Amino acid sequence: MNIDRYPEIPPKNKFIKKAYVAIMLWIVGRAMQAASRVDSVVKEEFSHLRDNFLLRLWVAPNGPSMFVGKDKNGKVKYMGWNPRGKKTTLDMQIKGIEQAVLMFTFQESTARATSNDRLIVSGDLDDACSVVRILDIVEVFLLPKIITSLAVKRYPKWSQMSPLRKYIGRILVYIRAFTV
Amino acid sequence: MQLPESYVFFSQPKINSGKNALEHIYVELASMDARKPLVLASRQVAEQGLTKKFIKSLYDSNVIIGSLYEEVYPYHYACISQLNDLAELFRARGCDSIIAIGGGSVVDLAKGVNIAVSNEGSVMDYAGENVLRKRLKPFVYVSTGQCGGTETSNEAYIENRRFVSDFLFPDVIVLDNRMITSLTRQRAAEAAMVALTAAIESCAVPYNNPMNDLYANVAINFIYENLHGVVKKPKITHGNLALANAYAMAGIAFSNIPPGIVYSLGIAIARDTGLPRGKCMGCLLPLSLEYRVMKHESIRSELLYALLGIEGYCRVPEKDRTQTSIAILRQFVNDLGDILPKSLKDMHVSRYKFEEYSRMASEMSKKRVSQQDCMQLLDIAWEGIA
Repeated sequence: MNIDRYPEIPPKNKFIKKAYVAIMLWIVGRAMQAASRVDSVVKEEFSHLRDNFLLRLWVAPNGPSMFVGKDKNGKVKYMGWNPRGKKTTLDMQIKGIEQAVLMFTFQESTARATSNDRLIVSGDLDDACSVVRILDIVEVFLLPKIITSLAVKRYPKWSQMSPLRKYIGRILVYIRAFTV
Repeated sequence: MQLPESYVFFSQPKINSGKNALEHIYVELASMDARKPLVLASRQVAEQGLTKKFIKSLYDSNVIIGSLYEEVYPYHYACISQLNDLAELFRARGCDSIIAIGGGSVVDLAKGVNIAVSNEGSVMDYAGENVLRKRLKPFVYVSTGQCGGTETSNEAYIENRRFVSDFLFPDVIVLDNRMITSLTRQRAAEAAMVALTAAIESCAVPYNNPMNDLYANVAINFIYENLHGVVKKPKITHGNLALANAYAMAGIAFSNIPPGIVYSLGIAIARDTGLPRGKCMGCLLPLSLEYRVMKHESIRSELLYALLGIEGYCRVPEKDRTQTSIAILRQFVNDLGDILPKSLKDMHVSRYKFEEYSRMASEMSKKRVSQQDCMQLLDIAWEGIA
């Protein structure tokens, strides 16, 4: 057998998909920071989390990532993408770039992705549940109903989130996320 | 359902089914500390462009394909010379795992290569039951919707010799929509018959094994509900995926029992004549159930439950359940029309060889089925009338 006929095949990169997911992670990270200052429910969810809380949401094995955590003053902050020097308390790993694309193009909700075994969570389960709830609220703020209803398990009813809270929150989250 | 006094059930594979299942492979390999697989595929798989899809699914991962070998002939037996060449390729490239894409001989060959690279000496030294004593390299099976009966089970056929060991189970079974191809009507029916035989025979044993029954019943139900749809419209993705799931489950269930009369005879005839196993088993399966009723042997009523679900099962009075399930099964096979031959005579099987087939089948089933029963069943199947 001529072994040279069957060469090694190294994996290529998916730059466009990676770039898309990186941008989405940046937006979500910034929006989480903004929502923690604007919305009382998000603020309360974060208040239950420990003081040194640091979330890493990233795409395995070497895809984009984002860090959101509490700083020394207890304020929620988007802490960029670089893992160097950071000690995460909650690590949410999306198994691959294709899985991440499914989630961030809203073809699959977070709950559906979890049930389809696309996420690996290391850390406190309570914290993970809080983060999923926060992500759901942030998505409601960021996106129109028609898209958000694909991304969250249940779109909040009027009794759960009044239109006033939603629209004012949306404007403030957008302003804070992209300016401050 | 009653809990038996004792039972044993073993299933090694992790099944990964559905959308984007291929993209999970690198995670599964990483969990087994592997990152350089040898990939085997048949020519047919390569021609259909499935290997390209597979390679794309590994983009942006840490997995380097050690080598891609796409020259396995489908529907042939795995041969030792090709196996030895591949073992050499595996070692030369420093691979640490094996991925098989396809069905039948590809998987048998992959299992054979795995034995060769994980053990010393010749592969043929490990032929037989439970001769292997050592865990093999990680092995991932990517289904393309074919079923030769051994893909997801603990057995392999190399050079016409049977290898059985729990170490031969795949570690991961991947059933992805993109890889499940539409087979021809003929191939689809044959594959389904192999799986249906495996499933029915694994839950038709007189003692019940609750875990085995679960796998087998789901497999029977998936085949019953989806086969006719797939035969009519071979490109139904959902139906093909359901059948691939059924094949995987049937293989696992079947690994936990010794082969039954239809499976053993089907293999014996196929080995000798070169006919597809599915054809032989499809002809023998309904007749074997009728033969058992003729002999006043009991057939568990759970078969009807598997075929019709809880509502259909409850609608039939208890005393009629066995007969109804046989009638439904007979109708199910008949509805496939001329795809499957109705008798051994139609398949031009030599009648004078029946004794030899019976002996082979009896040996394969560890004497669980007698030669006499095999002979009688073959005689009935010759004309195809019970």
